[in-house]
Amino acid sequence: MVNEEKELDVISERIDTPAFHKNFPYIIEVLKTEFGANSGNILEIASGSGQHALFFANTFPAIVFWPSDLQSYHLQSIEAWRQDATLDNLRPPFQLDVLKKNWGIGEVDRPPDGLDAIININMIHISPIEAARNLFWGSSVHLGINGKLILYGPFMKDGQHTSTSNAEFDQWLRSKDPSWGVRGIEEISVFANSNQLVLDRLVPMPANNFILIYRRSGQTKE
Amino acid sequence: MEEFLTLKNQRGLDPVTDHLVEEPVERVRQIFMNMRDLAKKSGSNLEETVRLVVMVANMNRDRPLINMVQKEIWGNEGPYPCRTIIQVDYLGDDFVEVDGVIRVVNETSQPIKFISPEASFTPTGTWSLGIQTNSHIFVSGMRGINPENDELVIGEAPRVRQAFRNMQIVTEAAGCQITDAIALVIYVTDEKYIEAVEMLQKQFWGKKPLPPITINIVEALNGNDIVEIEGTFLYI
Repeated sequence: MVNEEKELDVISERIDTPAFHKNFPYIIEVLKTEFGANSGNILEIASGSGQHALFFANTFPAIVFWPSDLQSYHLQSIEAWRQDATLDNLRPPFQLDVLKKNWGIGEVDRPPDGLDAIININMIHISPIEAARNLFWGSSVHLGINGKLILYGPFMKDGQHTSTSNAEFDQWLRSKDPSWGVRGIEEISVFANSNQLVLDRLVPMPANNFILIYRRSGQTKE
Repeated sequence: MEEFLTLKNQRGLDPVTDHLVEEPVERVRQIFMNMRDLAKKSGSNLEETVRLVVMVANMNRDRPLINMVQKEIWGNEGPYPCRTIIQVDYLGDDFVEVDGVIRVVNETSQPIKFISPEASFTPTGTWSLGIQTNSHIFVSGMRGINPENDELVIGEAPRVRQAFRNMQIVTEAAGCQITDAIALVIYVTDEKYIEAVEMLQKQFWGKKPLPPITINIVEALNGNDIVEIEGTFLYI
């Protein structure tokens, strides 16, 4: 469990993560129930190796996927996977720092505003809490009405870790960087509430992970 | 071509003594009397006021005074000019200053139309949502009030979005688009809100050119709000 983010098997610039192979089939099943045959634009924040974005794009051909990441080696990996896949609906990756407020949304070669979803896998626990705060803030700016913010990762529930291995993982994260750590669902839902995002679904996943689906709730018609 | 008289930073100075009128209500009255005299000199009158920007030293204390004096002038039921009221820290020993935009009537001037679309929220003070003249639309400072329940929307971005949406409701009711703005004034209580304003504005404007924008960081807005957006529009 510890150090599941370790990257292995670098073929050219493509990064192949073991975590991807473990969690991907389950994540995609949940996303199928959310998106079906819909069209639209989905931004992935912290795409990492780029494997999720690649398979999302493959699974949902009517949706345009916009992968992004902070790290240039991740951007290289995403682009390497993308070059090999030649999927029309997978856009080139771009650099996005979730700690900054301006994500470049709506600019040239960037996703448009009114996004249908923002997907964020395994990021919130390996970044300072401000990243989560900004993620919700930016989602409330850039999601269209009823657009979804989809989070995947380990989370505490009711103030408790959901397994011993998650508690150990949390300790390991905090020893690596005191600003990291497994977040509580209640803790991050505070950011959701203050940005008019409502928790629509809480889906338990294998290996003590969760998918949290927040929806931008309606104000007046747009 | 429409002509407007712009009066800046009007204070409650007695024209005879050139001293500030002592008593607060009288001082507010004096401001409007002074504005009336200036309007008359330009061949207009206070009824042609399309916009007021009222700067006060203490929102909760001073706003009721302004409402009261405006009722004396424009009547208990209005209709009233557009208005934005802000709390600022630069008034020194004074507590209120007023900017005014007053139409100078000519033979082609049609009566002022007051815009109060059903889809909008209901103003709680002595101000109108919007005013339409021959070729301009003036919209009061819009805040993130949900028209469905007249309550402030929760959240920074949702509130800013709602403020723009409220402005859009008023302009569209007058047959013009929000993108027809020729000037926007944005009041925020902290510079950290400017980013949300800029990002959400882009969503409303799309690829259309943005109008000149003035950003004012103020001490407080009505209802302890964080942002208020005021616009002037030209329609043809």
